[in-house]
Amino acid sequence: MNQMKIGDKILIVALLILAIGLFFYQFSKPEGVGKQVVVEVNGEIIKTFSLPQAEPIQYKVEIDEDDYNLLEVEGSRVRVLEATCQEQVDVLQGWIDKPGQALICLPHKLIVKIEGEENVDDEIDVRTF
Amino acid sequence: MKRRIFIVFVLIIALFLSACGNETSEDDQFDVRDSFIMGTIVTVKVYGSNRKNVAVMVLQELKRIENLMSVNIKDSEVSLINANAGVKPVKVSLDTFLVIKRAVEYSEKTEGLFDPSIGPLVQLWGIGKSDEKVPDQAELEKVLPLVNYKNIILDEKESTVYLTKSGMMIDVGGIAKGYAADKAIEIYKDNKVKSAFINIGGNVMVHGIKPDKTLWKIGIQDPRAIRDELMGVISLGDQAVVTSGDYERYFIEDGVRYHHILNPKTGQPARTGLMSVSLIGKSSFDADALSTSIYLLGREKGLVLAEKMGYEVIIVDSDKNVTISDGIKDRFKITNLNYKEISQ
Repeated sequence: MNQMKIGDKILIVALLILAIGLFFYQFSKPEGVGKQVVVEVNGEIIKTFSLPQAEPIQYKVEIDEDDYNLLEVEGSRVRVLEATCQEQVDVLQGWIDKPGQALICLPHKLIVKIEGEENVDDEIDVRTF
Repeated sequence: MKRRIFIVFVLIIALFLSACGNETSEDDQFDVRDSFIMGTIVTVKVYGSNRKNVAVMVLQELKRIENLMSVNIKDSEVSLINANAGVKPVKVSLDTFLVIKRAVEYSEKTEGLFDPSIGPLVQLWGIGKSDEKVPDQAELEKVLPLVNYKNIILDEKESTVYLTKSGMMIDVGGIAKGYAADKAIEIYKDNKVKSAFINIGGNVMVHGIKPDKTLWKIGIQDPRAIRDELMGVISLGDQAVVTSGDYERYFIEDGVRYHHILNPKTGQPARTGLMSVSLIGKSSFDADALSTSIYLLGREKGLVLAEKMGYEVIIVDSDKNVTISDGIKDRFKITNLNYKEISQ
């Protein structure tokens, strides 16, 4: 061992750190991302906001010439402030702030969901309605 | 030499540590996708190594079924059947034929309450659309004679469907999503997926159990809350859960709730004193038809039909009393204490 050069020692330490790093990375992957708002239209992600936001943001999702949903992100929560859809289900839902929650506007094929570490209903995998 | 051995040793540990992580993660890795198909929101979640391909296959299959059976798609097979009402039989795919055939079987089981020829009535009410309104008696009287499943002529040999009266319209919205969920499960099985689910607008079907060997926990919507709140939770593996209720599509006029489950005899939304009916069993195809059928039949007759078909039920009435069939009593828990269990 005494014959080991400084370069070898560095290599060994680097490999060990890499190995341990990889090891923990793989177990932490599902929780590795911070909380964020994901906006999807027709299955495609069109915008994300990391949470929390220092300043309130308003973001208009243009569906077509006439139709839109106006989102508001404030601190760690998001809501649909205005929408041109008839039933206003997404507006009525109010604020959401927990990972796993989602605002949905069926006629516009819009989903605004919060993704991140803890899940709101850790218990629940899927819902019937 | 010694130091070479030492370096090799470290490398082996490094490989071992990272490989070990990989091995446990492949079965635990999942792909989850939301999409809008069949006029509703669809969620697919698949675990395992082939998850991405399988999720895409399932979504493609649902789109294929939508293209065959949607009344909102002009050249769908169901639209062609409707366009040829009173004119001629229309040749259809096996999928469409099976769905209409099963729907007619449920018409027979429910003395015509579940009726796939409900189309003209659905159109008249327009519930959930911008032109929704309470129709007047004259309008109803014009439309009601067009609604009668006995005027759907099925020819199994030719694979044709014929509506005998001009103006008749089939609407398989009460059963096609269930059929599609069963097809999704077939895709999971064919691809040796061990854990997955499909949710087609509340038509839930779980395949296998979760990778951690626990049952899937399925939340049942509180019929009087806005979307995200639950009434109870049921734990299941390899089962379908389908809920029908008066809260998913409705409008309120002069204090009266007009919902989308229409009674073909009266032409009015079903008034059976129920808020929601959930069906649990091995096929989503049947569970879908049964949930609507039982909502239309009411609690007593509904319980009899569910038992006869070998399906479990959770029935919630307007006073928030909950009837839970015996087979799932230990699987289902009411989580919202405004709801109370009553005995069958």
